[in-house]
Amino acid sequence: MRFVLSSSAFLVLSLALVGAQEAGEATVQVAESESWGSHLTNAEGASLYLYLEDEGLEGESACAESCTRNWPPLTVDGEPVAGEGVDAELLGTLTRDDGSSQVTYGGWPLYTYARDTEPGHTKGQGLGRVFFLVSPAGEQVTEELVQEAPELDEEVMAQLMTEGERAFRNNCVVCHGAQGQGAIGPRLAGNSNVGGTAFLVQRIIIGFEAHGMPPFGHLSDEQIAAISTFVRNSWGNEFGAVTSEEVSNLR
Amino acid sequence: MTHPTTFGAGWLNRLALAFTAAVLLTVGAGAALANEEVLNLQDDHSMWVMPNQNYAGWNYSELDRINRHNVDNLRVAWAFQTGVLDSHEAQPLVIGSTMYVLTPKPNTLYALDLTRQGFIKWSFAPEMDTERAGSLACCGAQTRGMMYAEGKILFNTLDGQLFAVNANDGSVAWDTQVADLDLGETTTTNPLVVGDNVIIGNEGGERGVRGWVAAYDLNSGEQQWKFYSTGPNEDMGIGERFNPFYADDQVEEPGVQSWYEDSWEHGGGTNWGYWTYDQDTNLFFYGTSNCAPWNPDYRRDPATAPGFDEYGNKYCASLLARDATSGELVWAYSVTPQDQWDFDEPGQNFLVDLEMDGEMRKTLVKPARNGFFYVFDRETGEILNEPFTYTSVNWASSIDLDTGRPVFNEETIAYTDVEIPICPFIAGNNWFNDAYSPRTGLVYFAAENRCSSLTPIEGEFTAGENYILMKFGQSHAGPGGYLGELQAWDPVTGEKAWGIKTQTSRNAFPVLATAGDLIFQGTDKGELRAVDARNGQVLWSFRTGSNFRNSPISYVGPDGKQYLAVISSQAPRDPEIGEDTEPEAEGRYRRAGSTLYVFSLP
Repeated sequence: MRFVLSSSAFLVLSLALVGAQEAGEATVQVAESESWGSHLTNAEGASLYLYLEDEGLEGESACAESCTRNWPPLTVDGEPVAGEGVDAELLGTLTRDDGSSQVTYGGWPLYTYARDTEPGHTKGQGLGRVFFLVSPAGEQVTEELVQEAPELDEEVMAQLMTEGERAFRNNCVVCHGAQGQGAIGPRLAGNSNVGGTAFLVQRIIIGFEAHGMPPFGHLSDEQIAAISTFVRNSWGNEFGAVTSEEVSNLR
Repeated sequence: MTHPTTFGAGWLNRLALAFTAAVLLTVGAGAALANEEVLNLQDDHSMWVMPNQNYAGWNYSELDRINRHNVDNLRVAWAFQTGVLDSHEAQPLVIGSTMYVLTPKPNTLYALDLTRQGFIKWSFAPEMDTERAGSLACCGAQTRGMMYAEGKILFNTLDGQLFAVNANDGSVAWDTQVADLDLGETTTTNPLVVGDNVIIGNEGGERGVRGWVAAYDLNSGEQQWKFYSTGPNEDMGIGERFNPFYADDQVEEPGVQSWYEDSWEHGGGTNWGYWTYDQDTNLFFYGTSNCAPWNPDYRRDPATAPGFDEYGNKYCASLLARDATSGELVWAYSVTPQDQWDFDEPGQNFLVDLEMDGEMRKTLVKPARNGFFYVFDRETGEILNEPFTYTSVNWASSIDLDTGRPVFNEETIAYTDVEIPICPFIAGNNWFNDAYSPRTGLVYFAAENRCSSLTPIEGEFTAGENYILMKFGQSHAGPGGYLGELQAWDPVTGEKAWGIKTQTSRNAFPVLATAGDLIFQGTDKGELRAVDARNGQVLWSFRTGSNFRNSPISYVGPDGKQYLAVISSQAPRDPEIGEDTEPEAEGRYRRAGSTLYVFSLP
């Protein structure tokens, strides 16, 4: 489903939503993102963005022509309606060159992003360091929330390390060296790249063919978690554990 | 037969013969700027003076003692073990009665006596930071060749040192550090010697380095000039002589204005493939590496993305023509504007004179990594053919001849966090030596037919660290169900003469052509094979049980016989073979190894 709706289609959808849920008439709502916290969305839950190039343009939008294909303006017939958590005082509109009425918040014209195809997507966040999610206070969202790593008890960690060392010896030492010192493959000791969970796990699963590393996707989630944990916590590395659930999610 | 088939006993005789031939060939060519000795040697097909045999990049031997009638008698004359269990991507050289072999890291240069079946005359193993260079360099961290000129062997070590070694005794004439490892730079390409210039480039496109080419004096090792692939005109060697063919390139400052904000500073466009050189125009040609990072959202305006007309990212994944003396950029063309799929263009760019539309043209033939087959006017950069696809391509439907731009497919344009399907995956025709035979008029190369998916991700630039910002999916065979194909194409008509498909692995095997109407190439089954250049019939094969990462060379030995030499090698990544392993699994045919085989007729 696309979020770029003509105003009449939008109206039909809004009316349909009124029947389905009471809050359906809100033009702007607040959603919670695990990574970015509270931010604004449109009625269907599509993330809304501000564009830094709009700063200082009173009642105008810097996003025109090809820009509106990537960043469809949030338009409204009549007055925008604030959903729960949205400050109605900050809502406003401006008139675009085509005569449509674009919703503003705290003075910022609001846009959706064409490649956010489902509610919850925030693919436009931070693009080009000019497009940002909008907080309920009307400010750009820039701080990514730190995800707390799950605490593993010592026994589980020790088991991952033991299994990891065995699996590393059987699969990895030829290229990366017994001490992770690197040989044909890159050095792993002191290599900050292994701190990126997704990067490391994906390299093991898919390989890095362009770099000469074959895939090891045939290993189990548990084995890959063990190897990852071992690599991230040996030879001076301290990057914490990787669980088999994380590996499974990255397949 | 218009090519020499008689040879004196001594190489001096052969040199004299070749010199005569060379003079005849270069009359009126205005070749004063080129290196006369190298020009003479490249025309003496009893030797092998540079990667791909000649400046035009043909990888073609005029020797025809070994030919399609007798190739089935070919047998091993002798072998040499390099002892480095890794991919050998540098072709050996043969000068007189000496063969030079350069191993991968830790780089060792061997001089082998051809009068004594490869007896080691001397070896030279420079001190180098193998560990650090090996962890920085991309793609197996290889060394792709050396070149001979005026009594010296020129080569780069992986850790960015350029060496000029005296060919007679292995002593160092000079050496200089050319790449900055702190920036993530390494050196993998072969040097190109033109006149007194030793031209090299840097590698590091996966670490967001800024690509450059530089020239060093053949006699002293002093740097003569250094120009970047991106950035302000002054840095790029863009001045009055810059005269590109297409409007997209006829702009004030292409290396800056085609990039979003300051993204050109980390934009890649490094130089890790082959060079070709045209003595008539004194231009040298090369393709630059991927744009960095792979995620294009860092190199274009997110408001107008993709915005190909504005953000072409010049000149990564591009074809460049520079003056070999001054380094000035004369023309340039973005082969894959805003390269989003890691289509570097490091292939060798054949220089051939062809009759296009009834008119003889000085052309540059490029079966590009992006899957299209181009014929350019090498003097102007104009595309002379309707570029056609030689493998599965889904990212563009054609090339617009008015603008020179690809006609992009919306479905494969990359955006952060959006997974896209892509064919070809990484390369339709990678850097491996291609070959051109003037006898058949055909171009021979290893095509790949693989597809995969790519998902751009976010990240920060840190000097010297990985700066790819792309996830990729498992690769698989493209439409047709095969993984690769040895292909023979007529560059004039755009017709495919023949092809031999590979099924068990991708086709990543370099190709040699000879005047015996033979094509030599490794196979997915660990064999070296000889194929009839005219029709693709397999005439001979020999199983080495390992892989092939450089093409064979051919030369005339001190005994007057024609020889064929190839290093069969592979880094250790041998999968275990068990009862449940597929019968045709590639690991059943190929294991790690590193042996130089020399073949001859009895």
